[in-house]
Amino acid sequence: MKKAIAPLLLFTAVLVSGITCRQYTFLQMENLGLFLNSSDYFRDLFAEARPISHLAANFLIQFFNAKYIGALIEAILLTFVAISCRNSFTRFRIPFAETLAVTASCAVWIISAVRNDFSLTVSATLIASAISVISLLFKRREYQFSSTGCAGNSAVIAVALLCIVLCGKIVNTERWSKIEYCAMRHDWKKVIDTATPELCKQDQGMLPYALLALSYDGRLPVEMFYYPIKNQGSLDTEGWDSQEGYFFGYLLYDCYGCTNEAIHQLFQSSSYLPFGSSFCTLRQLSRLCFQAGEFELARKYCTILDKSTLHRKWVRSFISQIEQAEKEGKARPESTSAESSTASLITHDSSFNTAALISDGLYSKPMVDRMLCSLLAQRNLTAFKKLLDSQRALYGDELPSSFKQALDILDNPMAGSAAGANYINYYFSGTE
Amino acid sequence: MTDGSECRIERKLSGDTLWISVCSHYKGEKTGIRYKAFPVFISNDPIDPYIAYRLIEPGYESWTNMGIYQRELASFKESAIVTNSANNKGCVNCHTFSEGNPKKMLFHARGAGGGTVFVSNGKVSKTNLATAGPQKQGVYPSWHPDGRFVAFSSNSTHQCFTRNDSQPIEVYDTTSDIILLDTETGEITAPKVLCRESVWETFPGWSSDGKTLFFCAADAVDGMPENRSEVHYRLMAIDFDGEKFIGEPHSIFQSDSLSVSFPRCSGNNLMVTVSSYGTFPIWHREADLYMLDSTTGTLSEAEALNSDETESYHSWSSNGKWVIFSSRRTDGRYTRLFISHYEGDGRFTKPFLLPQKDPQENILRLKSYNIPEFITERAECLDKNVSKLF
Repeated sequence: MKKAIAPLLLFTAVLVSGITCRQYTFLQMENLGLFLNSSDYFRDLFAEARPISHLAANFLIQFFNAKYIGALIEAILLTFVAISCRNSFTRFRIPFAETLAVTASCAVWIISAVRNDFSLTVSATLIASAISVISLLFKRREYQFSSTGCAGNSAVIAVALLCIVLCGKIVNTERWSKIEYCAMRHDWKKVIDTATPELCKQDQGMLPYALLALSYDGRLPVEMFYYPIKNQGSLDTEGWDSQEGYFFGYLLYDCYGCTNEAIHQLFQSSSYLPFGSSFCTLRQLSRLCFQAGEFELARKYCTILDKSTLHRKWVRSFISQIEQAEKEGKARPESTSAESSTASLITHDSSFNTAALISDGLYSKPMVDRMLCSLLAQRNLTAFKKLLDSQRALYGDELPSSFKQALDILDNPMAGSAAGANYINYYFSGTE
Repeated sequence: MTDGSECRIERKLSGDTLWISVCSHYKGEKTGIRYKAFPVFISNDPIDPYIAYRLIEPGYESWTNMGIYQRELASFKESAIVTNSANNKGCVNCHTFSEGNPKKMLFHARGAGGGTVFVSNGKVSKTNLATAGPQKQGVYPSWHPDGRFVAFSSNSTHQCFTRNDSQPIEVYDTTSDIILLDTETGEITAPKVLCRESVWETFPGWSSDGKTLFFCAADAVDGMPENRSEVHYRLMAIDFDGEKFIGEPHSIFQSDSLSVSFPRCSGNNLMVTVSSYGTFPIWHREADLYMLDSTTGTLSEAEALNSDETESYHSWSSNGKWVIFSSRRTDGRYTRLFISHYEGDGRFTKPFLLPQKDPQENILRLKSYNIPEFITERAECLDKNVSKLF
């Protein structure tokens, strides 16, 4: 029983901290992970460094799509590392074997969490296993409990736990994972709750997500200027040549219903990932292609997902949706070359694209909100009023506060800042 | 089978025909169905033992892993010729072989320290064409049959994206010319007749005797990409005396409603890709393969090869009896390779998909096959030698 104290403590600490502090980190690992039983996948995998670790890690990460499973698997692996190292170090007659083993396991825990790289935990597990096998050549020694050692182990675990809970990088990773995961699922309330104005001040990168969420929660015109808006560029990450930037682009154009561009941005985002794809990418491509009536492509992505361990049920359900849609004749009609030659083009400027969509009549209230707020952020009140007048029916008699304030400024340009008038304050802060 | 029944495939060779019949039955049942046998004809014409192609995600602006691979046609073995692990994950593209010989080939390697990599009997070297001679970037290459000269187009290529059309991307040039590299002297020339500002010259392709360079040309159009439908490439030719071009280019085929790409010759046979407008036909669903009738100068559709989806890049085997081409007929997005036998007089047999050990591989592969070329022998893997250049 005494032998189990340190492992139990470690297991509990890893599990609890994983559940409370890294839940979304694990969920997002599954989103960005990929494991397929296909020759191309294995060829790419074995062309990279540490293929066995990555293979095992990618396999296990599949299971992270269920809440708390990631934390549980990590707790099991790290506890195994500690027990395995303890037994090996004991056979090697290394002093303070258990404390050293616990320290090693905690070090892996911290490094893996800071670098957000689960494959490090798997590598440590494999190394510990290998050392265990080697240690079998040595004589077995009995476990010697000592209260000093037990206290030492507890202290090490407590310190490691504090590091995990308090480490800024880990906290930030969890926040970002939550934002991206919830945004992908259109859980806008959670995005708003996470990307608060105070946090956006510290990390401007969260601002576009917060503003997109406010758009779709209907609160953008009311609350936008409580956020640290610098200019209209605060609304999006366009031009950010990164996996996160393109991922935001995919979210934006998916919300706009621009399927081609959503797919473009998703492919771009995925090109930064180790295999050029991920579970999230394949699921979203299936959905987007289905939406666009490209059923053969949707079916292709489903077939690929079926080569993973846990997507069978999802794939069956999706395929039956495709078959139903095919029966109803919902496949995309092919455009002629004449139509393609004159099809509207999308640019790299999301403001321009938004304006173009609205003028083409392809708008939604969130889109109009974003366009109007973008004009307010630009302090272009003339264009703002013009657009508002054309879309007045969307707002009825009750205009959002920032719109009223903007119209007040137009009526009385000499008016200055006022308490509570967040847009007026913003407007005049940029004109001084 | 897709209906859940089990099946057995029987093969019977009879002369030059392989008869294949399929029997299916449901598990536990004593009776089943034997479907009518269908023939696969075995040609007496040999085919080159290997093909080479690039594997790349289909479209857009960036990538992860890509490479130029070879596939042995008598088996399912695929191996890398060069991957982008050799050039720091840059782009490798436009592989081309002198008379199908992998011992003499070139490809472009883009990215930091990029250039055109030449392979000649085991020796690997890199040249940055953009900084040599007329300082024009080399893009689409074509080896002269004598293995000495290489014609390149030099293109300023862009792409644009459509909002929600079934053609998501359009790739277009805003300028292009043709340059000539002499691999013996290293000299690069930009003949004035092939570098006119008012004309976009591209896609060079030599005749089998090396006396003619075919290429595509379109009158320059302003306001691209909005005016992309106004761009129509015609098929042109210019004579070559073994050292330099002579005379003026002359038009072989032109049309206000069609655009020609990829002229590829085998003996007297010339195949092109035709689309409604523009260049880079892989994104044009209407793109099809055509053969030029050299006596009448007319293009006629190679009907047996075409489908409702894109047919695009193509190349001939060394004996001119087989053709391999890219097609998106399987799902409209991912390019797959098809092979057909040339019967003569512009006729082809029904093309067949490049066989895979598991047919599902064609669905599972998330990359497109790009620029398929027949090669006459196995190519050595160049990763180690190429990586020394970067």
